Amino acid sequence: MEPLEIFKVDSPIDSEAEVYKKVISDIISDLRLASSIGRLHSTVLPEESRFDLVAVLRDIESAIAVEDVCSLNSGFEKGKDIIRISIENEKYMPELTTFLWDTYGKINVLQNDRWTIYVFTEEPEAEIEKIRGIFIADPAKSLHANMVELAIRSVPEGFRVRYHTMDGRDFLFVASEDPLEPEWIEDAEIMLNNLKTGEV
Amino acid sequence: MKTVYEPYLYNGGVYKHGQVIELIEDVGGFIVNKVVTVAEVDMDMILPREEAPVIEKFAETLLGKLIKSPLTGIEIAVVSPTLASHHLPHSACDIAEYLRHPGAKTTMIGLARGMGRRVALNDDFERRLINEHDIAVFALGSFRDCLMNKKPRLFEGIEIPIVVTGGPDDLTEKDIPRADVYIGNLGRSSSRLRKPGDINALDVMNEKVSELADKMREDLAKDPPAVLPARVMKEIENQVPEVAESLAPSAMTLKLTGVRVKLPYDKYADKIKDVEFEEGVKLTDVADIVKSKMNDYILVNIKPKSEIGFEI
Repeated sequence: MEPLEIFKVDSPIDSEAEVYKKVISDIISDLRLASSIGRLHSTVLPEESRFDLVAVLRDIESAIAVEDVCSLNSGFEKGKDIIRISIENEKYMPELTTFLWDTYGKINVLQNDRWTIYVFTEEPEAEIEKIRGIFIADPAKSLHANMVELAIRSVPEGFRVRYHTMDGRDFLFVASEDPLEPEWIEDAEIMLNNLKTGEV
Repeated sequence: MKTVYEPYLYNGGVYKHGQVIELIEDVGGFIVNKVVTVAEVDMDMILPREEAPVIEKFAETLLGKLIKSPLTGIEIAVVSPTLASHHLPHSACDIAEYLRHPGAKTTMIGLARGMGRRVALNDDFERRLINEHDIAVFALGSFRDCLMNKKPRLFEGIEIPIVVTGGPDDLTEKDIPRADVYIGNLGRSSSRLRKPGDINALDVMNEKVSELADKMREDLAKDPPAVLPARVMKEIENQVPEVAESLAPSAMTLKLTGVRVKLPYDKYADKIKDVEFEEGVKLTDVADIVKSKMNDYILVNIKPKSEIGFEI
């Protein structure tokens, strides 16, 4: 599935749909979700006080361990034993450095250059084995949080009764100012199924 | 013949700008605001219409310029239904910022319970606060139905002219109950208003608000305030030196029929009431001096000539 291969916003008045398409696309770019969403369909019905947003996500990455983003070697620098960390995937640098600071303290973590981090520790070999498999990031979890954020930010103001589900790659969100009717959620589910088959 | 005062902005170098101030005072004008930035000076002023060319000519000799600033002396409340991200910082802040270009002083007001369609309402404190201003600009959203049928409830109890901004470009003020002016293409936005379409809409807004302000001034000229608000401002500045120590932005704000003095009411109201003009009239004789809803500041509402019976 290509990123945002379907991106459609419907409203009874075309100009209002356009505004919401612009708002949603701005929020997608703010939250850096463009590469994660495959298809998205939203309907805005102000007179019925209804807002639906359904999306099909692209492949979700599994949890990221320390060894997935860098290679770990023991060494000796500045008169001390160290773990030499060579970064292979910069995308998770914030999570990796936060993890190292929390584990070894800021004073023992030295970023020598963009691609290399030294960690001063007494038993580097044992420490490497200990931290190798620790998970530092869970893209699925942060994606879920970001999708909810996307929905909440794009919803018209005052639509504070909200319902959302995220089942694997399927995301569904319904919001209104009034109590939600069960059939609204059913309608959104039909929208989601249509989106999956591409019948939008 | 009665003197007609008009608002202008002087922009030029700091060098010899004292001479400009002296000339303005000599021709009977008033400086409303002066901002010095490094070697440049911007001065908002009110001038007798027929004297403007004199200042303009003198400004040219100092390589400065005199520009009309139609909203100087007007205090505008920019009201958004809430302070949520749907309205702030875009588009309500952009609207307020743009209104300041032609000289208006703006106050941003977010209503406590203005959100939504069914539940939107304003409360008494908010109404009174908004009514202290000269014009209220309501920065609303993009839904036609909301603008026409739901949000006008927010205008209840507002006695000053109402300007509404919203998304649809084919609506007029006639479609929105109680609105005096409607400006389209300024609905919900999640990015700064800097595209040509947005800037055009903001220009149209400034133009229409300026027209509204001109009309208000003309109406006011039929029964003018007993004393020119700019003169009251100058006298307060001279006789109550504590104003200069107020840390509030623009310690005195000029309004169409009064002045907002940003000093605590309880401590300084008597001093303001005792301000005296050279004709021997005290400020309390020609104006109502009341506690403002804004931070307990002092609000000077000048009474009209018809009520006092004379004009100074």
